[in-house]
Amino acid sequence: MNRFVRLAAVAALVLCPSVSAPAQEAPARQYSPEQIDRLIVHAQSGSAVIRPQAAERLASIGKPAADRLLTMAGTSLGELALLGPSLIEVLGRFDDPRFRALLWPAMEDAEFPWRPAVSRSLAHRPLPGEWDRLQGFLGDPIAPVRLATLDALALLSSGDGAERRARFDSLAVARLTDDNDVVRRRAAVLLDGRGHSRALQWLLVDLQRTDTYFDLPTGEAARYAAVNALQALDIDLAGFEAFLPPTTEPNQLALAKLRQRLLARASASESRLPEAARGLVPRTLPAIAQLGGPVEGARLGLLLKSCRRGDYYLRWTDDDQLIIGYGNPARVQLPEGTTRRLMAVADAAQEANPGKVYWGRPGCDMESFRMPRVGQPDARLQQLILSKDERPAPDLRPAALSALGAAMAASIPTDDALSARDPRTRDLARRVRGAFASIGGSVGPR
Amino acid sequence: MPFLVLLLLLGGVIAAPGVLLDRSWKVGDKVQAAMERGEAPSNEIIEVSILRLKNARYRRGRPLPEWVQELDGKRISLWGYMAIGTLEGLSEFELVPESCECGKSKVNHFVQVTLDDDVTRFIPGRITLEGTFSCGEVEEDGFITSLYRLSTDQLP
Repeated sequence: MNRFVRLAAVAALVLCPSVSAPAQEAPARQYSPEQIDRLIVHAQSGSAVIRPQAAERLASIGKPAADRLLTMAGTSLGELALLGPSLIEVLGRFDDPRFRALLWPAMEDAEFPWRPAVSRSLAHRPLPGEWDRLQGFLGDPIAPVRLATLDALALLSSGDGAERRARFDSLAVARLTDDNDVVRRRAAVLLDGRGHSRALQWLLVDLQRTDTYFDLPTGEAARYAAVNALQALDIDLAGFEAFLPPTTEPNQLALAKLRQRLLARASASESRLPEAARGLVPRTLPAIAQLGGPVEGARLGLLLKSCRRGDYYLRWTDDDQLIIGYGNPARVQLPEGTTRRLMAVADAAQEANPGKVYWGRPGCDMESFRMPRVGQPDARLQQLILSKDERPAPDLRPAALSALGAAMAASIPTDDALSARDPRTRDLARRVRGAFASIGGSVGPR
Repeated sequence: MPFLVLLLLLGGVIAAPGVLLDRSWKVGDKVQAAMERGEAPSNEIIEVSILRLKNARYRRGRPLPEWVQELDGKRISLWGYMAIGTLEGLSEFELVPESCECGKSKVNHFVQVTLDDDVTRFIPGRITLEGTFSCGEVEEDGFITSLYRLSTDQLP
């Protein structure tokens, strides 16, 4: 009986074209010029969550939207910038060479405010002739630009050309020492895709991170990112849960199993590589990618996020150490009394602006100062924030905070006293001053 | 028959505002169903990481993971940061995992907080809120405007 039922079901499927035939694609929706303009308004000035959705929809419309956006993009970088990051991010989807001709000068202009969006736009479908131009951006000060560039070069080298594949693999291995953990993880995943699965050890370390930048759980965020990346590779996590500390018993058991799985995957993938390509990924992780010890006694903090100059995570501790970065940060011993002197300047900054905690308008440039509250040394640290959008705001920072910024920048040792091998400390004082200048204005020369 | 049609139309007119304005802000579907079954809502407060919510698998139109759905309508405790640019004097704001969310703002990267007995003032730094959580896509004009919501009495 069951057999007859099955036969009947198969017959019904075969004989009924509306069920068995592949569904016909719905005709593309037609958008009027007014509807396109409305989507553009949403993509430029809608809420932060609506802007990218509206831009995605415009990208799916194709030529009518591209034509309209081309007229708006104009011919100068100033006009292009007015489109805003969400629209710029989808321009590369239109496969129109005129957009690439607009995007490249923006990518190459360090002062263009939306370079992360530009880089992702260009990386969507990079052209073979753009390799050399792209490669230079692997050293860009902005991590999202490096990330998009890595993705673009991975796409360009995904064909059969052995030389390009080898070039990419070497470039990706160099990014395993990037000072940004997101870029390191991406490089590791891309290398796994090329048969260098040993690079997944970088993610295994991220799964064990518990570091924080003050109250920001940078280690927990890294655990989630590593879990997502490994799941995207269809790797069984053996029950590892990112929301639990890695020291819990279930996670310890899962990590032990995962370690074995990743080692087996690395051996298997390497055995399939040509002899010359083996051993490209170092067996020992660089210091920057290793687990870091706890940071004790951080009393002052400076977090700079600049869309033009990159991000800086700095802390000054009770015992006069300068902590640079997060994860396994670089540590520099400062002259005795440095933190105490900076705290006096921080007190003055709070007293000059009583009750004020925020200056500016929302945007992707931000300065965040952390310091003990005046008269409450044991209370939770006070945080003062400046932020700005793409428009210049030279007088944004109040004088007392500029004095604190200047004192913090002046406390960073010269290059002679820092390790030139660590990308986080190289030319640090100059870079921090540059980031200050691009956000709330210059804090003055040394 | 014409009377029946008239009655149906009248019913539709009366019910429409309620249907159109129902954006499930206060009570999740599961709690609503439990209340209809006569079950008392639990007072247990569940600690939830905003990073876990951010990293929950989400694709538009697809169900959220089971563990997220199970939080729907529950009292939770949630840490996060006020989105930079939160204006003063409003009854709503976005709670984000990092004060500067400088990448693309995705709908699963924030929790829309409603203050029942308070208005906003910008608080820099991490805050922890307790309230009733609800989840599910809220769509306006074809755009998803929120996925996670928290109704709480006041700011810390």
